[in-house]
Amino acid sequence: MNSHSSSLKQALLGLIPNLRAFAVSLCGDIERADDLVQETLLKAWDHLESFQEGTNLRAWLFTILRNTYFSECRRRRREVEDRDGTKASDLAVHPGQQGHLDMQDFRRALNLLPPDQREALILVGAAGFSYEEAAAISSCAVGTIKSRVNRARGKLTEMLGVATPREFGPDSATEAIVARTAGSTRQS
Amino acid sequence: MAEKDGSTHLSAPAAEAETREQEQPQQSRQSMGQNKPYLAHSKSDRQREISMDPPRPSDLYGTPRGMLDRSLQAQLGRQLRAIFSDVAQEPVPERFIKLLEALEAREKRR
Repeated sequence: MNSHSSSLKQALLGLIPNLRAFAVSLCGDIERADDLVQETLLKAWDHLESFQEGTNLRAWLFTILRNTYFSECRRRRREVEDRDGTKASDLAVHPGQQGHLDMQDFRRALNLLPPDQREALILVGAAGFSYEEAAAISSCAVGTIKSRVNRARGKLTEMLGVATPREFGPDSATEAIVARTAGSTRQS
Repeated sequence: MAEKDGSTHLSAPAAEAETREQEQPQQSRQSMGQNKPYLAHSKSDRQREISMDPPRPSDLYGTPRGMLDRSLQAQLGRQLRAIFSDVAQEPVPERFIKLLEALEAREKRR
C-alpha cells in the first residue's frame, strides 16, 4: 500500500502542471484554478478505487476537474445560456494597432465563450486529447464535441474581429494567395 | 435609371431594339423598365457580388475557404496552446507538494 500510494503521489505530482493549465484555461483565474486543482487531487486520492489501472490517469483527472468546475458553475448559477447570449459587439475585443492579436484580447475572448464550448476547444486544441477522449471526459457524444469546437472557433473569430488575413499580419505571399482564392470563389 | 440597368442584360438583337427605343418618348421607356423590374433587380445583385466589401467573419466560418480559413485556425490554435503551455511549464506550487505529502502520510498511518 505504501509503495502504491508513493507511486500514485509521483504520478499526481507529474500531472499537476497539466491540471493547472487546464483549470486556468477553463476558468480564466489562477487562484480559482488552483482551488479546482486542490479539490481534484483530494477527490482523486479518495476515489482511487474507481480509477481503472492501466487507463489514462490524465484523462481521469481532467474528468474530475471539469466535473468539479461545472458543478461549481451551476452552484454559482452561472448559466451557460447567459454567456451564450453575449453579443460579439458588446465585447469590445479589438486587435491591436499592429493588426496583431494580442494575448490579452485572446484570453478575454476565450473567457467569454460558453463554458462547454471553451472546454471542448481546450481539450482538443490545447491539451492534445482526441475528439473521442474529449467526448469521454465531457461525457457527451463525439459529434457534440466537434460541433462545440467549431462553434467556439467561430465565436472567437467573430469576437476578435478577424475579418481579413491582414488583421493578423501574414506575409505578402500568403496575402496574394488569399486574394486569388477569394477572387476565384466569388466568380464561381 | 431602371431602364438603363435593364439594358445591360439584353442580348445583341434586343440591344438593337433598345437603340430604336431610345428615339421613342420618355414615357414608353419608363414603362418598359416598370414591366421588367427583375432586370434592374438582378443588376443590383450583381453589383453586390462584385463589390469590394470585405467578407464578414461569419461568412468565413460558414464555409471553410482554404488558405484563409487555415491561417485563421492556425493563429487561434497557437494562442490557445500558448495560454495552456504557459501554465503547464510552471513548477508545481508548494501547496500541492505539501498536500500530497499530507495525503501520503495519512495513508501510511492507516
